[in-house]
Amino acid sequence: MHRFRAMGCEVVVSGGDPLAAAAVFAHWEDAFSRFLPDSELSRVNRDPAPAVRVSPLFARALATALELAELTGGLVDPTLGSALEHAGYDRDFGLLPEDGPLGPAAPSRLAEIRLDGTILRRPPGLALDLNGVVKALAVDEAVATLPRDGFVSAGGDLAARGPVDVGLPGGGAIRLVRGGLATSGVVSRRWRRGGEEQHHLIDPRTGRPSRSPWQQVTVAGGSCRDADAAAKAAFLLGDDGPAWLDSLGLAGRFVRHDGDAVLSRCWERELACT
Amino acid sequence: MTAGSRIERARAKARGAKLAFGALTALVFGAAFVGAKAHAPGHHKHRAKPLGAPAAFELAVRRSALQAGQIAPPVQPPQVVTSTS
Repeated sequence: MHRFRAMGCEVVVSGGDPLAAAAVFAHWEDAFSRFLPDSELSRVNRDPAPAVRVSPLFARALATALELAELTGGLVDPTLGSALEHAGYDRDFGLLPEDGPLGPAAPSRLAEIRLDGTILRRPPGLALDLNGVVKALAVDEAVATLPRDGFVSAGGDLAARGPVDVGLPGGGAIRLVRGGLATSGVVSRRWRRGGEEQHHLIDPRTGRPSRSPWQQVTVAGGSCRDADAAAKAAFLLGDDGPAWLDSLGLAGRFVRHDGDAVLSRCWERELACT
Repeated sequence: MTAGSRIERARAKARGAKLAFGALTALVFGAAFVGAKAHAPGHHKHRAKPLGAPAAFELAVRRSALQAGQIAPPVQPPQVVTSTS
């Protein structure tokens, strides 16, 4: 088992060459970091032109983000870069000051962007944030480099080739038989702005950090990409999250702020019938 | 006109009739054969294709929804502990 840091979290690789996995993460991080001024994402966000040509990698990530936005009813939204900055997450997490002024709410601007091949049209000033999607894509791509059974885990995202027993944040464990596992939550990334606690899971409907009743949501998906999008959307849906996951046949575990866990019916069924 | 030449003529006429009848039979058989092959083939000569939806359609449907993974109770201590994203 090998460990290294990338995308602001610890990456664990088992079953293959960690250098190959590290190269995948470095490739994605160089292009999509919000905090590297020379990343393609930073350049696109700074560009004053209404239409910009992006790289095929950028176009692929954005197309995936737009597809996931459609599949989640707009809850997974790549246009919330300004909302994150206004909430105070404008630099590497470790460098954030303890408190400061809170910026205005910045709701979704999904309807204002259009991607045709590698031509991106959006109003100048619209700040994209693709980091959630990109980390999940990097995990899926890194696990594809494994020559044998194993897994790649990065923060709350994990994808496996072959079964793997996984410890869940906050306690408990499951065996991931197939696909990916993702946990979205507000346990680790919290800070204060305007005297109030903020976090990185922005509700596109309000343009503010979500006031979800959940502390964290874990979902098993066919890939890390799908698990991550479903976990985020289920978190933002609040009390409707478990029923939404069940309607899609996805297994999810919801943990409240007081530590109580709520399991979707699919999660209960899959753990009971084996 | 001799009796021999009459017989020869009759034989020649019969040969012609047999030939015409044989050719007509072969023609009818050939037309029926080709027609049967074209309109009522016994079985396909190429590998049968499944009757399901085309692969491109299946892919489009599969991509139109988030896909489920599969979980089960753990069978050994966790190999890795995840955090939150």
